[in-house]
Amino acid sequence: MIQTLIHTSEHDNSYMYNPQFRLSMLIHPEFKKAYEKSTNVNPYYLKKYTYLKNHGFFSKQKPINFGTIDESIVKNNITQTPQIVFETTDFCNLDCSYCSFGDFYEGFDVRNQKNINIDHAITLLKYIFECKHKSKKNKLYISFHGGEPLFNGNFIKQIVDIVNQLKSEKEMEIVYNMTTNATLLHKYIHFLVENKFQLLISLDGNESNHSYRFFRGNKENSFRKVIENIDMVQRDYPEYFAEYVNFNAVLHNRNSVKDIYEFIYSRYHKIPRIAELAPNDVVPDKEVLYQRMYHNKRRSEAEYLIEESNQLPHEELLLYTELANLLKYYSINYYISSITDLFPGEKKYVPSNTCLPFGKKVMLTRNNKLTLCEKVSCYKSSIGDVDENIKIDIPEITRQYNFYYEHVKEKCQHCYVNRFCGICLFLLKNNILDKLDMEEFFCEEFHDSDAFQNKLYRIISFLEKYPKDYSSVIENVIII
Amino acid sequence: MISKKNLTNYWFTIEPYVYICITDNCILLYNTLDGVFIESDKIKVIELLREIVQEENCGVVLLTNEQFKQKEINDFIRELRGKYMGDVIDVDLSKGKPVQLLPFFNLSGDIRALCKKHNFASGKKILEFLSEISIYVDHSTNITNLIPFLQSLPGNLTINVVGNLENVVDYVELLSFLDQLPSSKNLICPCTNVISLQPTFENNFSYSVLVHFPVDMLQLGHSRQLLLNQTLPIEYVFEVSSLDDCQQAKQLVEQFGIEKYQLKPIYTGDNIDFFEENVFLTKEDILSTSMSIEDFFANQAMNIYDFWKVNVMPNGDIYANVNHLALGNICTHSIHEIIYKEVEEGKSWLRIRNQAPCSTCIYQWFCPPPSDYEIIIGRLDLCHVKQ
Repeated sequence: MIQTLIHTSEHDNSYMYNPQFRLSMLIHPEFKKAYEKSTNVNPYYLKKYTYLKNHGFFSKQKPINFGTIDESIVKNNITQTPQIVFETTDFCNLDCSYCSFGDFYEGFDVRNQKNINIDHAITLLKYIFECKHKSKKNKLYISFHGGEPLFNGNFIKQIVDIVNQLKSEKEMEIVYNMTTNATLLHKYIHFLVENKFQLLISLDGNESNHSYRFFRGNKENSFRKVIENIDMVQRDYPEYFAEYVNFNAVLHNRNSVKDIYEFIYSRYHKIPRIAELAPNDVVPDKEVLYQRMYHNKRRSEAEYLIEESNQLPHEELLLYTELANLLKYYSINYYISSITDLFPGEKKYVPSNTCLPFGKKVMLTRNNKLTLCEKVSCYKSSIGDVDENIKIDIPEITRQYNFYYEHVKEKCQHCYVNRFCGICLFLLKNNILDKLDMEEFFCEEFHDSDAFQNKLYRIISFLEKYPKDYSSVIENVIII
Repeated sequence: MISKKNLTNYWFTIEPYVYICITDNCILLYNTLDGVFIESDKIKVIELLREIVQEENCGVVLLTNEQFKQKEINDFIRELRGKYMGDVIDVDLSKGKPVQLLPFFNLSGDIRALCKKHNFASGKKILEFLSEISIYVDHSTNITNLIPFLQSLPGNLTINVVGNLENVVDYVELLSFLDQLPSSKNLICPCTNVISLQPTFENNFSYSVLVHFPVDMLQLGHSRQLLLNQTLPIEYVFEVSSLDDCQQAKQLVEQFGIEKYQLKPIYTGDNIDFFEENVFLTKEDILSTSMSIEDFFANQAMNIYDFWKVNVMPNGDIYANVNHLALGNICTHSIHEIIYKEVEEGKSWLRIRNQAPCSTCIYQWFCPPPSDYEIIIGRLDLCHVKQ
């Protein structure tokens, strides 16, 4: 049962957290004693405890009203899809050891050097554009994913041509973006610059750090070619590089947060995104190897932070992000970012933070399937097919989601982070979603009272060290 | 010898369920749990509260033993603790400064951007939030244009039909369409225009009957009988402009056995005295209204009278509030475009009490947002509070 918690901090201060009111409250140690029903408690705090008890602070929390979705939500999402992702090709000229389409993982379509079908991609584009209402304020992201998307550069060029024709009719702003290994940048850079592609370049740090990213043929480290191309972009297109190029690194046993950050920041003055190895769908007999390669980001970040000369921006810290999420979703200031919840009436939530179909994006695979996104295997999240027509079974999608919700909500009801957990059901390990009616739902991010107390301890201790972060998060993360 | 106890410094904090308001020369603390409040114009108290809301303090300040002993501060803290609105904690009880997550109320400057960011960002389902539409009808209402527009709206919103339905060509077709919708439908019209709906139309309809003064007793009686022959929920709205009207309304309620009714003050241009006496708020009225932290956020964020509501005129023009400019027309604009326009440029949904003289008033966010009365009367401070 979810209830009010008492927790402490590194400074040995005591706090109380009430999930119902989303209220964190500094308390006197005597109040803590009153709560714990100790003896010899200062009478004032016994009265204060009774006062707060009478105002519902220690009552059973009302169960969350977990709702369902209906077909109109899916239909509405289709008309407002903000991003289309094309799996341009499944081929990649690199053979990274930890690639989510490599030997480590299972549950994805077999890779057979197949390119996406341009006609079907155009069918999808036209369908989405047709759904959009005309507005200069509309923005549509068009993304190219792979394999290495530049291996099918002609497709990208054709899509840009078509989009340029379609967009004027709807007056909308188009933003192109792409994740690339940068080995083919030299062939397409003029086109990418001309169309203001936002590039996310995969780079794991220096040459040694980058050594899991080798060429498929000769098995040579791709680092030198990658750096040669990045340097070329920075040298020849400095303004484009400054505004449109960013970096993404995978953390593993050959690098660290420090290595990644110091190499990329000192060489290119960019703050890289750093991701851990994908944890889901690891092939069982690769688990030992996976564990050997796995490098925990929180630990690596903490190691770097100990060094006084660390250059890690405060706002990039995991704890800063955790604090931001706490303030945004689990503090009284929740209402700043949820104005609609201030409106009278019963609030409904759906369990987990699994994206609704078309809610954030839709992806067309090279096998003509529509899926939720590039992170989720199409086996798990196929939401339609494209050929000459678009086939989206809205009633079935709605039924499927409501089936998941129905079978996970009981677990979520007892989780302390059930209002926002950031969990995608499709990315959880150890669950077969279609069998949730027969097998127990398991969530590795489930927060019981102990886990939530630890989380609060961690975050509030961080805030005690950096009290200005409170207003900085609200002003710069939540409001702006 | 001075005992250790007498040298104690404290961490001073305000509880997070307390609304803090500070102006140039006074402070007001309001306990949202029980409505108890503290006002003070003591300079040291004002300074202490100013300090506590400083960004770097994160809701907690050091109160030295010397400060703690000052009478103004000591009295204030005693009152504060007595009302469970704040506390002091001996600094020796922990290893470092604590924090308090106070509500962040400094929103007003960014409301439009904030509302857009969190509710109208690309991909958000804005239509889900539209809650009410009022359709004003007369002889010029064009059902052929109106019905497709209504079909483009979400299925869960409340629909008000305002005016004399019988003046609308093919009004039966409109009623048939509305009857199929699961929404609540409320017909708002003078008692002279009440028509019989049942048994043909009976799906979630209700009536709001407007009663003007002087009252046409024959018509009122006739319509009353007509409505009693049906089983629809009925509310009477007495449009009163004087105390005599109020008195008469009470008599009518008794005479006709009316169960649900409201008195709606009407400004006629020459009855400001009636408003000052019966509508304007006093300080006691303001502070006696129970306010939650959410209410304070809401008052700073949106106009609860207008938010998520639109009005369609007989010629198809759409307004967020009929006292402001039209946002578009049902024949030329989609509901998406209308909503975006209101959020981008409109004056209704995000109209809050952020203008003088309310903007400098200590009760600024206690008061509900400006209503139509403020627009019609032409002043914002419909109250007796003198700052």
